[in-house]
Amino acid sequence: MKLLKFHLRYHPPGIILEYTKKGIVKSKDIDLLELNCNSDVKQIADNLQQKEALITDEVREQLEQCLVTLKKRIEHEGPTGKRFYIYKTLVTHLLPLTNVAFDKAGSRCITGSYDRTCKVWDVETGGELKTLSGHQNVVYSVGFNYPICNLVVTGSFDKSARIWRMDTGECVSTLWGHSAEIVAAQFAPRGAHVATASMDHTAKLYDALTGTEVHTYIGHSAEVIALQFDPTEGQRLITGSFDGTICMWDTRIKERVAVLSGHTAEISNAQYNWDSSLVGSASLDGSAKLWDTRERTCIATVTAAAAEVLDVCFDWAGRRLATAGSDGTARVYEALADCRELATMQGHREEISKVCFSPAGGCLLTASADKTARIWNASTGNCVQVLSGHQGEIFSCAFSYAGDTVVTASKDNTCRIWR
Amino acid sequence: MRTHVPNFQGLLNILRKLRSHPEKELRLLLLGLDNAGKTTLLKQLASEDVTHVTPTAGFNIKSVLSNGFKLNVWDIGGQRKIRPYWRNYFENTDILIYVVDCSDHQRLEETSLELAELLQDDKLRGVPLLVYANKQDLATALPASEVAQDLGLHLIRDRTWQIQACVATDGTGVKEGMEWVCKNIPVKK
Repeated sequence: MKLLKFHLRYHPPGIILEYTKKGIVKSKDIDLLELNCNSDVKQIADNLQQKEALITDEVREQLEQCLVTLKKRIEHEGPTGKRFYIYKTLVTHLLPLTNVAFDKAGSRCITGSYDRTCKVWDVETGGELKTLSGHQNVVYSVGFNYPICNLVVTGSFDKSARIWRMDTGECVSTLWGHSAEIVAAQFAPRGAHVATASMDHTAKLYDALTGTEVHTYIGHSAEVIALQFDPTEGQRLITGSFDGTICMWDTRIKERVAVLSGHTAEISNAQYNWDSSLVGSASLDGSAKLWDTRERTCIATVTAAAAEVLDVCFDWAGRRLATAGSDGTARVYEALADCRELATMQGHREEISKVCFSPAGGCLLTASADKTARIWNASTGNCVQVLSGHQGEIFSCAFSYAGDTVVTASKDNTCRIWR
Repeated sequence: MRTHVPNFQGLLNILRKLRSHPEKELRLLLLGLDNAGKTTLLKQLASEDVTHVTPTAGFNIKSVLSNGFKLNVWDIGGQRKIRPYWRNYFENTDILIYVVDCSDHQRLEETSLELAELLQDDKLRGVPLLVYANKQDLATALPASEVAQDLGLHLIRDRTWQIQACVATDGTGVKEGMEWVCKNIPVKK
């Protein structure tokens, strides 16, 4: 065995070792999820060297260099980090917007709309690159195939999902089979499959290449409105439903693996953390729950006082959980150890519909009906910046992978790019 | 000044309103040409201030309680360029409400054609129709009976219908229309 190269993965922090074994090139991922701005690089390097035979004394210095680079990436952000200004306003669609997404490089962004199209935007110029048209009704869900980002999947109220090529804008395949609106569609991490969630109470799995249906996941007793593959393998799938449960499925078999029940009202979102050991769920019953995916039990319940929890998300390393409340408060919790509340973000005057962490984890971004988006220090809960300027409620927001760009989508039919 | 209807509440709320609803919940679709008074009517139903209403680019949703029913009213913009998108909203409609500006004589034919097209759509087949003959406070407004004639309502055979004279800005006649709606709720499958 011989080490060829170190590759860096910024978010979540990790190192990928590329090596040869009997002439075949292989790679191995090492997660460094604990890395933060106080980490001792020498000590981490010592640990890694002990565990990995591939890391010899010759490459020790290179390893430390890599760790320093990763550490810098986390430090460059945070309360003393950058401020965002309106960079471009995309006057997007004739009719209201639905969901938005960035590609991995943060150079293109896609928007879905009630005008039945999905548009691709150049973030740099603010210009429209492509209009993906063909759906017969509202385009509700949009997504890229990470990390390559040469394909787009759209889920529509016309009961179909479509896969499009980014470069030409042509529709590669149309995924039929649902008997009601599709409200979520996602590529599996390796891009081989697409999963869809629908108001017809089912979720489906399709072959991304051929567009043929692989499985139908039956088991929910109400509309399925949230769906996510496990972020690393893409072999497991969770679905959240208005029936108040979250289901876990294995993409290789048709049957349900587990039902996570305990919420007493509709689920508003369900998410895996990075290593898919945990699932976070938000519900209109006013609570968010953390679930252990191996034990399939609820390990913690946090409640927002008399408010619905409208969104939930993990930070990129999967160590903290953030919730968005209809009372205009966002909260951050420790997800691994004791689930205690780490910070409370107060300031929005109306409900928060979307919450997300910056990739390095220093900031939290919230989108609110009070027409502002806000950036918060994720550890203190202090508001770092108010992104104002939209004329209508903001219902969606996202960070680019590099963390240097933010997109917000509003009921005023515009999208704003902040840098 | 608020230029939008305040209870839009994000994308999740759209999905909640889109659900196949329980027995005592209804989906009402509010259509008509631009400047017919749909948003004013919606605000009047929700007992909100109607002094500042701007053209709707898109749609507004409101839930109104009436006679023990929860009415989810979808108010869709009526400008010509967005009329082709009305079809987006047809699914699962329980009652169609069509609003006519009775003082706009010139566009009576246009509104009549739009209505005729709606009534031919498959997704709206058999859906009861309520026509609000709006702006009756204006001196030039045609009476409801004449509007019914012009719209050809008497020729409708495949659904129940009703025409109701009203003034959306002060609420005259609005309640009577809603009472008809509650009495004519189609039997759910």
